[in-house]
Amino acid sequence: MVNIITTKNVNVHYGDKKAIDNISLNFLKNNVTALIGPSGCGKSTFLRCLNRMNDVIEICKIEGQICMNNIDIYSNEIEVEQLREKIGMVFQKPNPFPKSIYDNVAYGPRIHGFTDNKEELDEIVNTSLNKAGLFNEVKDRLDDLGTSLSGGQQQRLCIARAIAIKPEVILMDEPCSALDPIATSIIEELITELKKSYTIIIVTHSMQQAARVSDKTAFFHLGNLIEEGDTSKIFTKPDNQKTNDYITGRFG
Amino acid sequence: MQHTDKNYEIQMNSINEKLIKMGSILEEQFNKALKVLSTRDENLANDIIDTDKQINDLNHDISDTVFQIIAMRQPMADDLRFLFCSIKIIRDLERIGDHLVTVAKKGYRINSSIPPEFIEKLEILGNKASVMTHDALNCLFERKLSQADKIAERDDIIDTLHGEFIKDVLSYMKQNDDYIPDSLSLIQISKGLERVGDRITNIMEEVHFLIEGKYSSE
Ligand SMILES: Nc1ncnc2c1ncn2[C@@H]1O[C@H](COP(=O)(O)OP(=O)(O)OP(=O)(O)O)[C@@H](O)[C@H]1O
Ligand SMILES: [Mg+2]
Repeated sequence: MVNIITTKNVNVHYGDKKAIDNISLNFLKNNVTALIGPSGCGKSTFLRCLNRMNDVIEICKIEGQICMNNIDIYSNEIEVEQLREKIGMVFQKPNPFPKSIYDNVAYGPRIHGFTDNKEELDEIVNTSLNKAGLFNEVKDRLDDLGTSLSGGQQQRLCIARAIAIKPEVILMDEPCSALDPIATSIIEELITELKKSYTIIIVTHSMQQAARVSDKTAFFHLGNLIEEGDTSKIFTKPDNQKTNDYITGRFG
Repeated sequence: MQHTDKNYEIQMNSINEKLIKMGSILEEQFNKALKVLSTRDENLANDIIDTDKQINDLNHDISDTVFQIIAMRQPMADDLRFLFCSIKIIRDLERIGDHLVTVAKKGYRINSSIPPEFIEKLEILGNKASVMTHDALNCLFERKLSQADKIAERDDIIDTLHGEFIKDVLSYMKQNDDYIPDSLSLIQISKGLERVGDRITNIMEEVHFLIEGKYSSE
């Protein structure tokens, strides 16, 4: 088992406000890691550090070390575009571009200059949609707008879009919070399938979802990492009382 | 710390309260069953048989509530362990109740000419089983394993006493053909009390799991 992403003594401030307090947390390759914790504890902030999405927030200051495959992602040699090629992201609300289904998926490979060849592009679009479990539902309407799909389909389209650029890591911030139970279980099954090829880090408010899909779970509270470990242990016999109280619904 | 959802808190507490109820009824059943041995009081024996129905009802009642909570609340961590433990130990508690019914049913009919030391030995055995039950339930309610080790040792003592008792009764039986039915009753009573020890050992395993998240043998 190797760590694909390692973080060490990470502190994040928004202006004077500390949002992440000295967190060191590593992520195993081809694992699903769930980040859980009460609202405002810093899950999204931490997740966004991993692909430098916080760079655009002016008041946001990040200290500490974050490495992917042993390379510091905040070092000068790293280009953010290249990093995002390796670390894709799926957001809480499905956010397809106002373009065709096909172009939503083809967009990334095009701008990253993977190929201009129509056949190769078709191939990438089809396999990405396939891996996202959407191909059969949309194969006859690839020219329709991505926004014309149902919420669950849109979210899978966003996953296909993330996969199309062949990332190594996929970050997901509450990817199912806008979905019904069936759409949710389709995404969850997909996550389990995707981890064969990718490393997934998922923020979720659903304890059951974290328990179902993740191998590792990390519990955040007030910007601190309280406990991390095997999901099967965290949800049955956590070491920390705070973890226990949170996952059993005693606060948060 | 209490659950944010008050109804959840109430449901969980109700299981705990019913377990306490089961434990206290069993404690009384023990006292009465041992009294039956010395007094051969048929009314008291019938009372034990009647009261056993309450234990059976509590068993079903707890099991229903646990079932509901699992379906509706998806419990986790210590809640999950507590429910899992409860559902397993109520079977053992219910069986302990059955063993005490056996003691009562057989006990009141034992001929008064049976040597009193047999009854005394059964009382000693019964007291040990009763204290063991009490201590095991205390471990559960206090979530502390303080007396856990001693409980396993005490089960060994009960097994030994039961073994010796059987030997004594068998040799008595050989010399007193008239009392063979009574001797068989004595053996069944002793066997029932010995089984209580086994049930308590099971319960302690589950309590260990509740508190430590793993079985003591792991
Ligand atoms: N852009 C921002 N500017 C200023 N403060 C921010 C910003 N984003 C987040 N914060 C603050 O940082 C803290 C952590 O926020 P974050 O969004 O990471 O929490 P979270 O764990 O993802 O919560 P939720 O579960 O509600 O999504 C909060 O106190 C929040 O108010
Ligand atoms: Mg968030």
